[in-house]
Amino acid sequence: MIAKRVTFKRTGLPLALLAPQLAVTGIFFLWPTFVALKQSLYRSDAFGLRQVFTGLENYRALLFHGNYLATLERSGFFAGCVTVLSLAVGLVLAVMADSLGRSGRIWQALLVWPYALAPAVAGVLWAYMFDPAIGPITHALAHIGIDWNHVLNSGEAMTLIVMAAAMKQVAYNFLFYLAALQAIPKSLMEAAALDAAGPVRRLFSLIIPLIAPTTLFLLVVDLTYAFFDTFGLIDSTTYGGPGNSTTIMVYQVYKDGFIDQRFGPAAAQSMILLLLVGALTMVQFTLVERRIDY
Amino acid sequence: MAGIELGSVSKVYQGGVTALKPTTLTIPEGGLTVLVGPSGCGKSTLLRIIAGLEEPTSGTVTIAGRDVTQIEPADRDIAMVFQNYALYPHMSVYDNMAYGLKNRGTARSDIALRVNEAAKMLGIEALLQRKPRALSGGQRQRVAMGRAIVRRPKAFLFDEPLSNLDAKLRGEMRVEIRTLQQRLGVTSVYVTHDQLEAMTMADHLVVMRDGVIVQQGPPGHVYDEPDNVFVAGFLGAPPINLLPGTLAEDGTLHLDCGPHVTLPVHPPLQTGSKVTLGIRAEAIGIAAPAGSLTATVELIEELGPSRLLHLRFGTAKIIAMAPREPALRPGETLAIQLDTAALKLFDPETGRACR
Amino acid sequence: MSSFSAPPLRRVLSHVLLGLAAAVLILPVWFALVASTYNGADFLAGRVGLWFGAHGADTYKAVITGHGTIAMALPNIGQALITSTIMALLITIGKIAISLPSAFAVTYFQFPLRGFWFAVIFVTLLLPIEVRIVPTFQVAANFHLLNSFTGLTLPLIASATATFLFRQTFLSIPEELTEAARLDGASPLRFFIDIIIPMSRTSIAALTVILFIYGWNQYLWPLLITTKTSWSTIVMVIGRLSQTAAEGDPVWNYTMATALLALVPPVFVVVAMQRLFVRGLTEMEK
Repeated sequence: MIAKRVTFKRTGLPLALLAPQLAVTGIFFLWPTFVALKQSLYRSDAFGLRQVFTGLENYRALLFHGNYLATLERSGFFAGCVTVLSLAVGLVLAVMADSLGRSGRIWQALLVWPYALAPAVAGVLWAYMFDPAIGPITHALAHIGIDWNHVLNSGEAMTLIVMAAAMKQVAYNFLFYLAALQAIPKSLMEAAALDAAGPVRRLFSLIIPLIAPTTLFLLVVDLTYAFFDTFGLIDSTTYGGPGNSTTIMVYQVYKDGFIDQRFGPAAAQSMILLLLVGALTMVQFTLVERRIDY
Repeated sequence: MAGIELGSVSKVYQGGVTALKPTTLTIPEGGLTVLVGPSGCGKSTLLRIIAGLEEPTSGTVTIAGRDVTQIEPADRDIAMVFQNYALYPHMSVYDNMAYGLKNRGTARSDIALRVNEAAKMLGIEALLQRKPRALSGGQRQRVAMGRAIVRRPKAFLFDEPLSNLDAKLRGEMRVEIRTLQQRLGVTSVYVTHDQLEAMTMADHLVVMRDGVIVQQGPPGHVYDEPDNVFVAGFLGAPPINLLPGTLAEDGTLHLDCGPHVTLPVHPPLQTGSKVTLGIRAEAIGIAAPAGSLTATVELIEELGPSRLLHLRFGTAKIIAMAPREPALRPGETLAIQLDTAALKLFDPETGRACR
Repeated sequence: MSSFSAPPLRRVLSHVLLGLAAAVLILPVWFALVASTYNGADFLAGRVGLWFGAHGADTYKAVITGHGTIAMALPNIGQALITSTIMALLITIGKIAISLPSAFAVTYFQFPLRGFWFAVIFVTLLLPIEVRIVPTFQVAANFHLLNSFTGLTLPLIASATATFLFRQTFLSIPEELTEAARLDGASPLRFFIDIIIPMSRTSIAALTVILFIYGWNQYLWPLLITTKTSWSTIVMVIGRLSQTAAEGDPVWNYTMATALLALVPPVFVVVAMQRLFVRGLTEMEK
């Protein structure tokens, strides 16, 4: 661990300074996680009065029975779509803004503000536009012969939440890509132009490889966002439906644990989420370390 | 006896790196003592141990007769000037200078008095309300000194204070620090890697290498009578010419590069001993009468008042400092004369001077 | 700037495409604004178009005073705005207040088990609320934190990211300043207050922008920890209103007005403090 060369040698004071953070972490993070781990190994009876130790039964039930595997798959699909869509759009917009130089800056404010949108707010805005009965986009689609109804059609429901979720990340990716592009030395681009590489060729043979570290980093950030931060989005648009077609992992753990009070299975799902977020965080830190080395 | 005393002070870092071997040193009161040496020689470690910023692995530090080994830096009654000035960027010049006094509970009016006095002394009265970022390098340096002066400490510690300045400013500040130090008469320890700075400023010069003091004394004496080949080579610009050779029976020195040099006195060495001859550039003269030694001019560097002649001397290259006259051209061969009183002999094995 | 200047035609094309993208992003907000100017009857009769209706003032008055919405047993939006503001500010201040000292402790002190404590803080990164949803709720309920600002904010203010950011900032402060302060007789706490905090001003400001948005946009935790509608936050209300609207009640005007009220403060912060926002965002990810 990097620390200062000059350090104070005390014991009481630093622990006192750390105490508030450690207290909150212990009470609201570590203890509940420990409880979740324990709960994941128990099953409560029908009245919630008694808990029976069942070992890994909850995990086995999740992974080999019921619909949790489908939820995993669906979450992966959702996260993948959101990530690819927002990376692609973010990159294209950043390349264009960068090519405009100084005058491209005016677009920054107009493209970055969606970062401030709460997922629930983004969701409800899109839900209105595409509302089957009165949505203005739905009306427009009807004119060209598309009968949009995400309340009944699961594919359309998934499309809707992917678009609404991507809105925020497009802004985020745009910002990071623009910074990465502006860090590319101008002489490199000029050399490529002198080598008679056209703009499209330059994009694929020069720009994309050069900003690969940024892409990797954003990939992890976008996946984390899509997996974990989109609860409010689902809860303001499709409520996981129709059927379970937009029930992703965080929505299911809420339904099972909070609405249906099935603590054991919910706790087991929590542990699976913990593994996922752990893996993503580790990858992110490895990438960040690498980025510093460049 | 009221200067700074170091009693076999040493420093070994975690991981076993020895920065300073047990060192005993007396820093005379009221004078300016310069610690000089190449980087990694332990001079900064020594200074930081005096300051209390680093804890010695062994040994004692006594400042003005008081053992301060276990005392916090702030309570040692010393002040330090750092290489990068270490001014608090968010505070005005005034607040920078006043901060230490405030922390000591000095009365407000007294602080104002002392800060203004120091500012006047340094010619920075007009800058007191500015932030460090709005100052030039030289001005920042003055503020850093002002911060030390207002404390009225028992000792000033300078850690390479001029190395961030350009050459011209460095020359000016050298004089300024020296003048100020003499005027205040406060015991001062000054660390630098620059031999010119060390020579010009020191009352007492301490040359260090590999965590050990290799020689100390008045700068002129250390320059004239280096104890070993390292000190001889480290002090002086251009560096001393070092020529290996063998002592012949008749007391002349047969240099490996060819020429034979007659020594004034027979050195206390056996015939056939290998020795290294050290001769400074200014001890090589252009001989008017054709002497026995000749050299060929390869390159001439004009310095203004004098010039440096890069000479081929036998098969070796040497540098001589010569007056501007007579006119010389590269390729010319001339007779040279060595100031025999200034010839130094060193043992090539140990590097020690043969006296 | 690395920008490679493109030929005029392509510049125009770039402007057009960027404008199009900006328009697509702003479109949902435009429709929301339009929808908020109609009344329930307009929606039922299909009179809502692409331009403003006549009932904007009524909608916003009803939403903010809670007049029309209370009739439908929905939360008072004016109150929800206040709750959201207080919650976002408390989370922002709380996170900064606990992570500044803890970053100072792990950066500037040698003390037993320092690495272990640092790892404990790091672990919070692995434990978003979704991972510990039910037991965290139970803990909060046991502490009687339901329907309180303490409950809304305290479990959210342990933040490894803020601690890391401040540690990064502290590491970039030259060592000599610490030494100078020691020689100046500053105790560790004095040094922290007089030197470290003022020198971290920009980081604190940048983080404030990011954390305000983070706090304002919380959804799941407020949903769990509040059981009375009087404790609803504005973002939470959106979820409830959208459900009502989706069930066919003609409340889209209120829903959209609420959504706009919910998005204006954080969007304003981002646009008004763009430089700090960008800096905060990019530094957080370092």
